[in-house]
Amino acid sequence: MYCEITVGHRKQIDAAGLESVIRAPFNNDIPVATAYGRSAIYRAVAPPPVSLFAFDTVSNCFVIVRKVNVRSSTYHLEGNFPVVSVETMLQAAEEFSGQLVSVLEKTSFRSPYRLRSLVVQLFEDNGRETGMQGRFTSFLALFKEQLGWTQIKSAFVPFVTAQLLIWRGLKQEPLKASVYSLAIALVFALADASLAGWRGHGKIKWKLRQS
Amino acid sequence: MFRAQNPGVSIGVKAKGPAGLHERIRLDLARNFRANLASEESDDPGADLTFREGNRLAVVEVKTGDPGLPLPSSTLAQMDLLTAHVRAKLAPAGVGEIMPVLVTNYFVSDADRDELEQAGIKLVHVESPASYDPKTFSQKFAQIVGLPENLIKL
Repeated sequence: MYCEITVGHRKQIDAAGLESVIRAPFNNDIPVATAYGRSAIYRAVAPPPVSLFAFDTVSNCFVIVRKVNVRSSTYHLEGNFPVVSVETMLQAAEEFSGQLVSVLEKTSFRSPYRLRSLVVQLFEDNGRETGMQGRFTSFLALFKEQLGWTQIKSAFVPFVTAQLLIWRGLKQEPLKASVYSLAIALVFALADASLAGWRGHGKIKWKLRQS
Repeated sequence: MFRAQNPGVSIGVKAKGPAGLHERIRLDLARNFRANLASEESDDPGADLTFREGNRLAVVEVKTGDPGLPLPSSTLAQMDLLTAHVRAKLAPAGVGEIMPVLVTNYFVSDADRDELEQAGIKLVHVESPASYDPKTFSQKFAQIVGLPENLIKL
């Protein structure tokens, strides 16, 4: 098994520039040819010139800075020996990714090397996808997730109700106000159901039942 | 996919490509080119599919994942391993020309395209999983790989 880490950068980058930014913080250099020799998938491949450098990292793993492609850079992470477990390798990938993110974040705000995205994928030794994938979650991404409709719906319905009651001047008429509140809740429920029905049309909704 | 609720890197299990695209492509190709099908091995470390046309053997690898991501950089090495594996496996039976074929929905840059071409790998790109149409795709596949189109039914 091995991990491939794909980093999206802010702008177009070049290999020499990336090397100058990240090589020093990740010391423990090993020859690229040695790293290729340790890899299950690259063992039979001669290191191409696009592979910049390689180094040992935590948990008995190594990293090859594989290549730079316009606005992205790719890193190969694998265990030094087949006995390195997948769990250990994923921890190493997480730690390396964290270090890489902090190195890139230290560049100037307008630097093309600054991080836009980071994805870790786990592959089998024969190059096939395992389906295991990790993504860097920034504060902004988490904020967007928390701002999603499912999260704010419970606050949005009372807000719309209050706005309508103020607009209609019904604050002093509890009976009418409650009817309006109920109507708004029903409208939202109907809209939600229609949307869910449209999205789930032709799909089976599975439910786990205890017998 | 599992996500930690703190900024950082979280790793979780995600389905292989959108809604079983890998399996859909594999089954559609196997069905549409049944007459040329040499083997269909999903669990074997070998190719996803192999098709025989005369003395030529098309070794097909279907590689699906997040279409927003670039083609994994190990793809070329993977295709080399695959070709070597098939060649070794079929050597006793005698095999003529082996043509590696990569079917993928990953984003393929011009540099990747050139690299694949230089390595003699035919590329069949799946533009969008949402607009995937078995018939159109099979026709495109037949044209690129050089298989007969007259049997395509789907």
